Amino acid sequence: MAIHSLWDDQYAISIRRGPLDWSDQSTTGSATDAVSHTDAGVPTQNTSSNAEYGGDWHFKAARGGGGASGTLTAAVAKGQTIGMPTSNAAVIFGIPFTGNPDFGAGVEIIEAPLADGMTVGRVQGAAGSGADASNIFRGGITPTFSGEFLVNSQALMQAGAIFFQEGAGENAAHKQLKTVATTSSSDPLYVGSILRKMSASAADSRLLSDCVASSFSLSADRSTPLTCSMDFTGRLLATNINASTCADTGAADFTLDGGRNYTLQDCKVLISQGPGSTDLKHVPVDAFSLSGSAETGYTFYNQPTPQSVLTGPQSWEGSITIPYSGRGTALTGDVVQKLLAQIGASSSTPSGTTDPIQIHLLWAAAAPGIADGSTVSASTAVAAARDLHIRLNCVLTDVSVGGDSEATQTLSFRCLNHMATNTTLTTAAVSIDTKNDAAANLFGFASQAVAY
Amino acid sequence: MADYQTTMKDLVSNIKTLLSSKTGSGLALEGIRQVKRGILPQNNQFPLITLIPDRELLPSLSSSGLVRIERTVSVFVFGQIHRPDDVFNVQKYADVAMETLRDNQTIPDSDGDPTVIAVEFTPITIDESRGGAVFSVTCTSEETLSRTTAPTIENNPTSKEVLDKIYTKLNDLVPTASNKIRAVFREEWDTGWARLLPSVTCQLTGHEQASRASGRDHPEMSFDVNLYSKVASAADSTLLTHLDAAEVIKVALTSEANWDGKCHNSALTSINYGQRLESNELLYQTTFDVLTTTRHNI
Repeated sequence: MAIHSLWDDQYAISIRRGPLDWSDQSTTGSATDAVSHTDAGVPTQNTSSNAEYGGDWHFKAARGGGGASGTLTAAVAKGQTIGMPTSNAAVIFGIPFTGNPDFGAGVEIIEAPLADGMTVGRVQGAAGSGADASNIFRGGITPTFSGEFLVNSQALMQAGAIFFQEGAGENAAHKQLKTVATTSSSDPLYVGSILRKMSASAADSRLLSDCVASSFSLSADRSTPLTCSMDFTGRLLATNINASTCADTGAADFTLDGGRNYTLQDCKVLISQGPGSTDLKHVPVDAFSLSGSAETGYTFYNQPTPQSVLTGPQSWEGSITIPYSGRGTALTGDVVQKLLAQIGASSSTPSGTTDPIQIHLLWAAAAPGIADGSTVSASTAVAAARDLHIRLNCVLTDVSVGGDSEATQTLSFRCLNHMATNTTLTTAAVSIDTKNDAAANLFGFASQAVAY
Repeated sequence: MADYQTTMKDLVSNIKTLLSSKTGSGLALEGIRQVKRGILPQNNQFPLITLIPDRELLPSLSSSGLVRIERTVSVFVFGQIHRPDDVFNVQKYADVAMETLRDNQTIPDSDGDPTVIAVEFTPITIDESRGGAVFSVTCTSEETLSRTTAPTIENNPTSKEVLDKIYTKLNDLVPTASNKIRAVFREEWDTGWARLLPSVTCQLTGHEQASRASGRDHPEMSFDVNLYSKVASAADSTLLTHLDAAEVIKVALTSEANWDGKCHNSALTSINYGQRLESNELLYQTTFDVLTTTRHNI
């Protein structure tokens, strides 16, 4: 009798750099962009020089090209994996999902049994022919996974890159997730693999192979530290993975990021009460949430697994709860209502256009000396290891008033990219910046040059 | 101090001022002979009101370390019962004291600025002898607590390691004379802590495997920190000095987010005020409840 104890669950998440050729399931040769597993769940092990691509080496702790260990000197090559760096030669993959989430296997849709007068549609199977054959169309829904974890900066970067795609970048210790401009490619640049270890060495662990994220949410309130929730959709779910041999014949690495968590009470929040980003007011916040979703498309071409995956437009919404009286004279209920209505903020007539406001949430080791209600011209770049900044470019959509002993107002907003031209991004809708423990600890994201 | 902020010491003082302002001739509390803070001396002039700090609750904090602290003060009314009207007077004074606080709502400081956001009351309880009445008033105020954070969190620290961090933090308060803390002890093995008053003791009270994420437990460790001061006299100043030291300890215990990476969060959840008799000595005792959440990677 087999029992799986939930305490024994461990999860790991790795990224493989794409774009992949979603129809290439070759298991030999030197294809760098073949999918990680065939439709039958067989690992694809393509090699080129000393590098191994896809297949069974997603969770290898030693950094380097496939079977060879080494140090990272540049962005990883197409087809190779990315983990959370703990040095320039080692990576980790563990991620502490809460609630022991499992994978959704995906649902096959059977449509349109032959309308031949029978009460119940019939299935004749492959042997049927002619009038006996039933007309069955099969469509695939790819396997899914939903997970939630308390944010550590490296885990956030690792998982978030699968959603932000080309917006994931780094410059030495400075790491960044940012919404990108419209000219970015729709082919996923970073493709994830998520492993749930069911046992140490039996072939019963579960792997969501070649997945992309369809949603990315962050939230924090007075009781709950910053929490990230994500939904993933994968190409294939393999349920016979051996966790002791799925990292280049070694055991998968489940080491967890040891960084700090981010409680709301350690956060400084700045909100601009005008269109400029240089008019940031410091206010206390009771709750914050941000939710991004991407229109991810799959094309099957009559195959059971997707032959093409496109990451479509993202939409971002969120809310933040601040005192109704703001702080000092800043962000009072009246000011926020005017911002929402755009009446009287700078003129006496309403406007058909609206200006974005900025919301900055700053977690810094050395707390910025910002007094309540004071004005800050701009938040400065992440300075210390494990600092985390979340900056949003928002348009207010609603303001509601509530509260317990103190009246509060909840600002609902949408985040939008602020463009100077149709290709030049001035202010990203969402920008998440963090700093790693050491400059040499690089993920290997393709974009090496990022600015705060 | 900014509007809607206060300390327990200032709160009892401001309540005393507010109630005292009603004791004049022709006013609602006319007849009250004194309004006092802390325990009563052997001999008193009745009727009187005395204010005893009860507790401070610190709910979960907002950003920037903003906390809406709920401070509770017990208001005792005592009288001498010689005739039926004396019983009614005790009840009347308790009613008036509550109404005075309820009608004011803001418990202003000496500048007339508000110090509390909201005021709530418990029912008035009349003593069986009919010579005393008591109710509690809970006042909500804002306060901003700044914390120091370490970037990384240690795996699986022992409770002793966390306790050592708390002890060291508190022990660092001793050399500063204005803190009025003479010694800090781990545990209360003997009565050594009672010989060096005002003293502080700290000890582990609970260790719970409270919650779990996959691959990572979050054990919760509870610690009690006690501050003891000798009640040398029933003078108000004895209590006020004790409350000053309690405020220093409160700031120290709330200034560490993760105790140099020993835990992933630390919270001072409540402060309870009381008295204790030790070695035939009456002491003011204040207990600080500290809850730390640590990490244990599987």
